[in-house]
Amino acid sequence: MKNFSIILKRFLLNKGSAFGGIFLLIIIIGAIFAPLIAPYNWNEVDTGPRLAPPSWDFLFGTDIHGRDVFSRIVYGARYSLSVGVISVLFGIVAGSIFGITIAYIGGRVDIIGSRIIDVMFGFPSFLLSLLVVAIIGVGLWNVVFAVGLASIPHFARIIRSAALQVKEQPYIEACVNMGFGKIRIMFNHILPNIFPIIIVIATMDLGGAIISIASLSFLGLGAQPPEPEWGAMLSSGREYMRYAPWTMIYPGLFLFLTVMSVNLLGDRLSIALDARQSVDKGKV
Amino acid sequence: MVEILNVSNLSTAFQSDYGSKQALKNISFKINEGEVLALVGESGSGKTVTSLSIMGLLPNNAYIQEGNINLIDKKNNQVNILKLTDEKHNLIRGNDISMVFQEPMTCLNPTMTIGDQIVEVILNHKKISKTKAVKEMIDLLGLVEIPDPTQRAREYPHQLSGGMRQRVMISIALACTPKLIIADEPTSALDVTIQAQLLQLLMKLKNSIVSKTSILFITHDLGIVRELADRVIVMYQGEIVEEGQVKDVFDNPKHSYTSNLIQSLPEFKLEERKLTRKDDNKQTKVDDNEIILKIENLFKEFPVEKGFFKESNETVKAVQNISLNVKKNEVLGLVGESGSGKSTLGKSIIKLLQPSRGKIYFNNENISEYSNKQMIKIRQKMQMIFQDPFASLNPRKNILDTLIEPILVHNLMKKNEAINYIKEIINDVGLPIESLRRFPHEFSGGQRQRIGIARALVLKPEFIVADEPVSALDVSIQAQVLNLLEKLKKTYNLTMIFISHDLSVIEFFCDKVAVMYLGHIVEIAPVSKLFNSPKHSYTRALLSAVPKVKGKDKEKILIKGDIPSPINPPSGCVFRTRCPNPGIDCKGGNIEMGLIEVEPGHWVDQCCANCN
Amino acid sequence: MNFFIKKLLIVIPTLYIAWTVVFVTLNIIPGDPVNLMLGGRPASDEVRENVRKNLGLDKPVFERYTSFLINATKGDLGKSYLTRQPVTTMIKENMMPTIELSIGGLIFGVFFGVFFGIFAGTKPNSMRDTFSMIIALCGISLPSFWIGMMLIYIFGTTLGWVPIVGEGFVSLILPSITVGLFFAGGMARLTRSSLVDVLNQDYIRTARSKGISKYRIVLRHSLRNAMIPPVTLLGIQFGLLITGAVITEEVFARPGLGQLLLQAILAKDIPLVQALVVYMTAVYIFLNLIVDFTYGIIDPRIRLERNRG
Repeated sequence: MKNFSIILKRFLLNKGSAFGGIFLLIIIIGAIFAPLIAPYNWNEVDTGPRLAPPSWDFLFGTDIHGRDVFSRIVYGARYSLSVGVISVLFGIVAGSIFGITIAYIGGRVDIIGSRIIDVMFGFPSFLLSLLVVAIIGVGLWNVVFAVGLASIPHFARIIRSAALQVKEQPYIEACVNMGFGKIRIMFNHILPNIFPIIIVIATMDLGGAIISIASLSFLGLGAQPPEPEWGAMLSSGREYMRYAPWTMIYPGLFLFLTVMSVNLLGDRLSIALDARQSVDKGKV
Repeated sequence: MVEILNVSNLSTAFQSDYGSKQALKNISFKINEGEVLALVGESGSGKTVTSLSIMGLLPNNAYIQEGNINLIDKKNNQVNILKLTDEKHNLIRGNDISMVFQEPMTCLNPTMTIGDQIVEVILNHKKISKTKAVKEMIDLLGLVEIPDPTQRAREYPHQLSGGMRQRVMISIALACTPKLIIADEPTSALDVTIQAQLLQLLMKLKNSIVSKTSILFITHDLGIVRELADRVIVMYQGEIVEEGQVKDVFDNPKHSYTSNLIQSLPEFKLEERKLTRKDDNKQTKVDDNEIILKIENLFKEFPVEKGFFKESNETVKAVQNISLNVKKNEVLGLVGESGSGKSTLGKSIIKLLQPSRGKIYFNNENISEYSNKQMIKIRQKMQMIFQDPFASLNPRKNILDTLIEPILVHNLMKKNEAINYIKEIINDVGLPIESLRRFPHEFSGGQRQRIGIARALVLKPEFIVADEPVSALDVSIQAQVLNLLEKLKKTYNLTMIFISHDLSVIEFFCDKVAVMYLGHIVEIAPVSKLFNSPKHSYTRALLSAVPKVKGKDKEKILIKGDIPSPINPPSGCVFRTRCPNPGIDCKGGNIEMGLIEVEPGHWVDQCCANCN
Repeated sequence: MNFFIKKLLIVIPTLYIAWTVVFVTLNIIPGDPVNLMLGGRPASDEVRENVRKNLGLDKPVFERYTSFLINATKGDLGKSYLTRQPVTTMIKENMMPTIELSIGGLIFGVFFGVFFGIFAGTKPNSMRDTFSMIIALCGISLPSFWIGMMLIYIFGTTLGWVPIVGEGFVSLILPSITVGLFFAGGMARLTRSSLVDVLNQDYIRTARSKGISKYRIVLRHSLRNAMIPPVTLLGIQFGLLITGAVITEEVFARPGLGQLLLQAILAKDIPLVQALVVYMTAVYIFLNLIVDFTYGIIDPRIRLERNRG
């Protein structure tokens, strides 16, 4: 267990991950305890004067409908992380099952499966999400689904190549040698060994997913008014940018900081897990 | 003797998150002009760290704590290397001291031509024109006996074989006529016959124009030390434990580690065994047993992948027309170099790979066409021990899980019974019971191999294929694991196929030996017969290529050239392109291959049988 | 040459399969396109039938599919529901601004990305490494629409340095930065890690043992090999550029294909969406083909393998 405490130490002492961790913690607390933290109701029109600049009453000012920007941001925190996580979860579970299966079974299955991935790669992922939204219509959860779907080929490809590498290892041959069935080998032996990679790419893509979802909301395809999702808030804030820039600055700022924190943690996680793998291989 | 390098009180350490680790503890030695000094040690001895400290190529987390390294450079000035800045050190690297590394595959830049990489070092240190440098480069390639140097110079590293690449590395090291060449295990990654070529090249160079160049030869192979070196230094865990003339040290080792090392060599263990005369009974006992494994005309070929379209009809002819029998309790050795197909054969026999053609009979049952499902029952009886101790155990499972899973999957015992049974086995392989709760990364290489052996035994097999089980281990650990295997063989009543490229290990461990080359068996005989009177040209060359510590200085039979690719093996007798004395019929590729029994139990491929 | 033809043979089916996906997905959209064409006006059944005939919707699905594929290859994909103009004309009219924007973003992204990547990778774990990587991190964390607006606000509205709207090179600056920032961040990180990996390779140690200066080692020995993963990334990032256009054109109110696509989706103008996706997919796939070629130039192992096959 000495290894684990060293990894933990590496993780926490680093300034980057400390900042990222603290900020994310704030966001999560804000999301959970929103009713306690937000001073006003996020949906109530004319809580204060319209387009009022930041003041002690309204920390980040008010928007065109007189709603408190700060409260809306606090409630918006509920969307920011969760939609990203759900979308990535969807993509990665689907991608993993697909990737591991075609990698292990190999042969024609692999060839066809890889072709499918290639075709999906023929579309830039954002375009794919747009297409999906065009079909199933607008809405926050539609966008979450679309972004998740579009991320599947990306995950499947990486997981497939990781699974292929693990498949080459002698201990997998040993499993075959001992008469283990395919499913057992795939999920009891291969999966646990590519798990670190899965975690790493999931966290690294989380930032991108959050931005994609917010972008689609910004374009009007995702969260619909009056939902206090940060991307959608930026869309409305845009119109009043000249006179009331705070309606645009703060939602975007929080979006930026959230994504940055996720990326920081993702980076540290990948370094920490990578190091562990080298130790396992006896290199240090 | 003129001294050219003087290392005194050198201590180097590594810094990591786990704390500081001492790699070199106050070592001191000298190198004289024109001599070959061998640096011997196992892993962790610090031999590579020593070389990197001299070259100033230590990784970032290493630092030199104290000491001096004094060099007499080409201009006869005394330089303290450790006090040099990196820039000043660059004037020495490649010029006064140069280095040859171990891995020919990765040591050359894949995107630069061979010629460019050699010219680069010449132009870096000599103020001559590019044309002159190119000419020198061609001459160098000739010096290291690379055929057709002008053409080769335009090629990229991946187009050359391992042996060729090492010759290129040597030519780079020689380019500026250095005072000292440090060679760090330069032949360890090469096949035995190629290694023999290179060692002969080094001997030639040593005795010729470059005789003023000293060589610091780092190796773990005592045979090479004896053949090549004048003096030897033995290192153990960062300290120098013995030093002296090669003959003296080998005949009268003063330190226990040195004598231990020498005693661990299979050569010595063989002598020991001969003295106690255990052999004779063994052979006859086995001869009477029934045949447990019979292989008839086995072929295994792999399609060559060409990237996008698999339109090439080319195949890798890994195993070609192999037929052999293994009797109960016998240990059959499969020996060969790269491309021989020995590993593929091993895996095909236990059906980890589906053979392309041919029959396999296990206990008189024809398992050749069995599907994976049908093989499940059989697999309990046929198990495998793998080569790489680091990759053969699932890093995410503790030892108990790894060992108990097969028992539970095959429903052989209930869980509690299984745990007790495993405790016995882990004991048998010489590991404490606490090991069961640990994970692979907590064990050393030798210990992991023991676990691998335990895993092979767990299903109570009758037959085990051991694929290079000790090749990745240090010599002293090798001996321990081999002893363990011998013991277990008797206790568990096993029959084995033992695959290795190391002839001394085969001689020590096996009853019968099959020599493989490019997918064919060229000779198969009982061990003593094969090693005392080999009949095939390849076998003879192979045997003479192995550097021996105690052997007499026999004339070496050198095979020229590289091993042909198994995609395009020569027609007829596959060995004819490299055979030192091919007959007229052989050379034309007209003679088909096939084994002929020249003496009872001693089979040789008919091509050589007719020649000799 | 052989290699080129072989690659083309793989790429073309991929393109057609992609187009098939486009056709299938867009033609299962609920909602009668006839209504859209009529603009919601009530009409008699006869008129409806006529419109249906005109749109070709009366023909069986398979026929529509094959004519779709043929038309896509020819480059003629019918008329927009809304504007009644041929979609190809609409695309042509809006192409240039998007291309300008993409090139601008590409230049910005490659230049700054590779620069910071090399700057950081040559001295890992130093101040300049940390500094460069923080900037790169910001690059990939900044939502492009937000930074676009911030740039407009700071440099346009407040400082007045740069005109916000209008044509010409100057008006391309802020949008290019917006599009290229994410790209630059990704490039910088990948270039850095790739360079660090290469510098840890055995052959670099061999080069050092020859006494070659660190400067030359980076330039002559490492860069070429280190650029291979970033070049791969380039292919994927092209997709980002093309579609980052959507957001950036929206934010900066620039005309272009991105704007067109957005309007088309919101209006369910299927022929237009279809045409745009067909066009963008084709461009994306062919750009990736070009990227594949560059591998051959960089890595002789691949080049020689290709010539053999």
